[in-house]
Amino acid sequence: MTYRIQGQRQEWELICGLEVHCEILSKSKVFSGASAEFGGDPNTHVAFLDCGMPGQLPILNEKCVEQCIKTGMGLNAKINAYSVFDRKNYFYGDLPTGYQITQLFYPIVGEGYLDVTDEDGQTKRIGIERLHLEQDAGKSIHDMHPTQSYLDFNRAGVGLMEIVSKPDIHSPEQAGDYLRRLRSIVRYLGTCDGNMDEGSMRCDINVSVRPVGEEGFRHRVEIKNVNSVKFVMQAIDLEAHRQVSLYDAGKDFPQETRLFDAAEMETRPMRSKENALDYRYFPDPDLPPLRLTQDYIEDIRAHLPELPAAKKERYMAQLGLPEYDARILTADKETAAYFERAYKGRDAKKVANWIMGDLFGMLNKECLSIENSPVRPEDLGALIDLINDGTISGKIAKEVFEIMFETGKSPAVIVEEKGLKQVSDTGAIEQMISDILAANMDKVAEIKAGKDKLKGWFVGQVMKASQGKVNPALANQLLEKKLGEM
Amino acid sequence: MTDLTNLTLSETVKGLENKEFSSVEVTKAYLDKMEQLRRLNAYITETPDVALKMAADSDKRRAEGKAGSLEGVPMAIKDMFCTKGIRTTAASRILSNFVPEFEATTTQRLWNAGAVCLGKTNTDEFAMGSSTITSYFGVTHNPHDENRVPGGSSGGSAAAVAAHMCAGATGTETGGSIRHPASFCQITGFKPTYGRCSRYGVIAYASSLDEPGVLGRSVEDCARMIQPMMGFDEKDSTSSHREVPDMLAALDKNIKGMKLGIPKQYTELVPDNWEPALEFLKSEGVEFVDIDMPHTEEAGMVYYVISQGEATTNLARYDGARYGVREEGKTLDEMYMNTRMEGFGQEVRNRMILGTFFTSAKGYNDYFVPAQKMRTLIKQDFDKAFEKCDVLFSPAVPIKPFTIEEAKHGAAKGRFNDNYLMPSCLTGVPAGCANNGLQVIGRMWDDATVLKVLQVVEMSK
Amino acid sequence: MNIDKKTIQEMAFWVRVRIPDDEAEVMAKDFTETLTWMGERLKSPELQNVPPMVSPFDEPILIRKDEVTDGDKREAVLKNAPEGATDEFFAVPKMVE
Repeated sequence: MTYRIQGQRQEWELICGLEVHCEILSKSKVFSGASAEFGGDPNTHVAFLDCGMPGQLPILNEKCVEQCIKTGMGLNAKINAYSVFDRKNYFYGDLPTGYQITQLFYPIVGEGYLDVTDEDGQTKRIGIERLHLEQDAGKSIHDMHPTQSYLDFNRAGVGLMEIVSKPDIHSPEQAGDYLRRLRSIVRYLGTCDGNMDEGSMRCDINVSVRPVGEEGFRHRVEIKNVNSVKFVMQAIDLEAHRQVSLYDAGKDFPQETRLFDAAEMETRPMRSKENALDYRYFPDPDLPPLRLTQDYIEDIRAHLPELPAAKKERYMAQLGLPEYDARILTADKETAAYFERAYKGRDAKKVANWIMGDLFGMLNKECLSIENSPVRPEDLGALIDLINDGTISGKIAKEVFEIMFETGKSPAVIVEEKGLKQVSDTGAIEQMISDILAANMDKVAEIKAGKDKLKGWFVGQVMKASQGKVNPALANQLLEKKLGEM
Repeated sequence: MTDLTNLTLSETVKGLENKEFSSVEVTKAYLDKMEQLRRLNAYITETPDVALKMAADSDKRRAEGKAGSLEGVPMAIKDMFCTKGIRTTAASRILSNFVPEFEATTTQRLWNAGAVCLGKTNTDEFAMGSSTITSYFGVTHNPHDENRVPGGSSGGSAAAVAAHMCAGATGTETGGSIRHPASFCQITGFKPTYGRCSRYGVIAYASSLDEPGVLGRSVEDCARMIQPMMGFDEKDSTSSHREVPDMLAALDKNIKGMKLGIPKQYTELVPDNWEPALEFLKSEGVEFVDIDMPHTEEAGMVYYVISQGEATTNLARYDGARYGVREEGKTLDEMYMNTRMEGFGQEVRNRMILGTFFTSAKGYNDYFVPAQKMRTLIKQDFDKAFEKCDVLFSPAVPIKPFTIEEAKHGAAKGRFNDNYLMPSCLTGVPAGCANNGLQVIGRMWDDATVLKVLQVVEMSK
Repeated sequence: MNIDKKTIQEMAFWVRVRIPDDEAEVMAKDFTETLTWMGERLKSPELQNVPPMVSPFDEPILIRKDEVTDGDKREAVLKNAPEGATDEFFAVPKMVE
């Protein structure tokens, strides 16, 4: 169902664009040599530049440039060989120099796109307007003192990538998928850790609505700093409905900035006096323009890791995995890496099943991420090999897996220690079967009379008698033989 | 005992080398002079303890055979350079309590060369002006006539040099602030090519115009001081990688056959010593070439737009939040406004208000960018001129220093006050003013030639 | 271009200073005059295809290797902090959101 908002007299559609700020993964800040690491004791990751001392000058960090280019490539975007740094001027406590160094006129990355799955399961292309490099602001803390706000500039000057989408998003689902995929891409590329709850990825949402069929854009509202995918989707839905209600009541509303209050489930205006602010952008005279050579750009492209979309296609086309599996396994870099190490030419579907079923199940129970899995991917692969070559049965394998998870030991060691090797000695099995058959002649008679289903019961008994160590396929085969002889 | 303060910087260097006196002795002589002439108000902050310690350390180094090029030489530093542990104010109330925890690259290089710090000299507030009348710490008096201003913005440094209160001094030039006071105080001033000296640690006025430089009693003195200051600094993205030539080696006093261009726009008004200077230089074997710099008139306007546009944002950091003198307020904005109202003088305040217009949505497209285009045309005037000559030669400031009263009534905004200086500032070319008020302007990166010619110019009365 | 007193006051707020009404009035008038004659000169056809000169500097932008070479100097950073600052933080009047 295409997302629509039901108004009093007509249906409305949503026009939405997202501006996502991603903190760049780098050791030091974009224009100073202070650490860009998250956290740290207050004001210890601060160079004199980062607290706005006089006479301080910005020096560009090459890693931040590289990360922007990589991310741009992940978004199928044009890398601009020429870009300029501008000053964006405003006053706020967390802004140490009274201006932010950003890129307005000539950003480092131009137009691109990101394909998402919309609420109808269809692929939709969301255009990317630009990606530019800028400084993050510091943090202000308002609850440590009754009349003062405290300022911590650890985060001031950390590199940010601002990714601006075109207003191509038309439903909360599309917005949610856009964010999930964007997060996945930056994590795959190692350009941002995508932690929305730590604030390393923040989203500003632009929302407007219009009656279905109307051309042009109406007033839009910006919702600032929403820090989870769920909240983004909720905020969009709430705001879209709010706007439609206002229009239905014959009221208009100003282009303004609002905040999303998750507790109250509403958006409310920011108490900011400077709504129609002129930021007085102009090129920063402390920084010459950035000129990139084609060689430099292509070298980065050559070393780019495989991106999730391409990887998913490959899993489907070359490994024969169904779309669902491919999507789950490529959702994040760590899962894909784990899968590839466990797969190594084995049966892809079997590996996929073990990961998506057993492994994920146990990881979730213990609240562990796949990077911290006690079971190494190579060991999972080895476990599957043991099933394939008949050393253990599928059922025993599940037991072994649990022990692998608990102890981190390899499957071979566990099988050996616990004596779990499958019994494949035909003679022994035949004897076991004979014994069971002899003890249950009535059931044998029923099978002879046509009740084939009871064969399964006999196999079950064999498994029970052997504590599951008999290879069920072999048990079946031998049972058939024995019954045939009777 | 001869008054050691009467020795030029070069003579001081030689005297120290020959162990005729110690750094402590010459430093003490300057400290005494500073006390005697305190009424000139050349210094905002005197640093006698630091000076004497640095001098003692210098003498020790010399005894160990580790003398640098400026070993033991007492210098004054314009209060726009951040000096670690020494109050740095930009002559503003807002920084009147600011003690930097870091040193400007250029001054660090002077200390590395062995120089001794006598103190911080007066300037117009945030270097915005040409008289020191806007300084929070009061006006500096011209040593030649105490009713008159020393020029600016490096007026404190110029007065200190002229009154022998230091062997030499640093300055900064944005719109002529080294050459102007050099002319008014009858001393030598030199501003290298933009990008030669690091701006790290120099309180920014207009980033694309600011260049650190020196003021001294002679061209040779200036050459000695500027040499260690120049050169690439990894802390400044606008610092040049180009190799720095030996300035002293260039001073061979031989300018025979050189072509000196005289811009007709810079000779509308000339001082009395202009004609004799031309005669003298002709006798030194130079050839004069008439030069037309048609966009000279526009320089004032271009400077007004660009310097104010850039300055406004450079001053945004002075808000009382993290350092400086804060005035309280109930809200953050109130604190900002109270702090900045009390902290900045009226001239600075007004320039900020008007300056912000030039980067506003309206102002940027209609004024700022066109001014930058005009700046290109002004640069082209220089490029074309240098096709016909080696250096430009003209008076620096053809008027006599105005009185303090006249300064209070806007004399600094007069036409001839800086119109021969501004165009070269906009283009970044090197320029110097000799102690007879005559200036030499050179091609980009041709700092050595400027000093070479300037030294001969200096020889003319 | 006409600058009125209200615009001057707005610009004063942008740079967080105050200007008394009477001064703003005078400034508005003077500035309008200045902008008028400057505007004429800056519309010169001569400027048509001329590139703007942002800076005299013509060398490539300086690029730094990604290493932590700074920070870890909280004491120095807070040294000049106005009253209210603690050992760890700068303090300003409470900021409204």
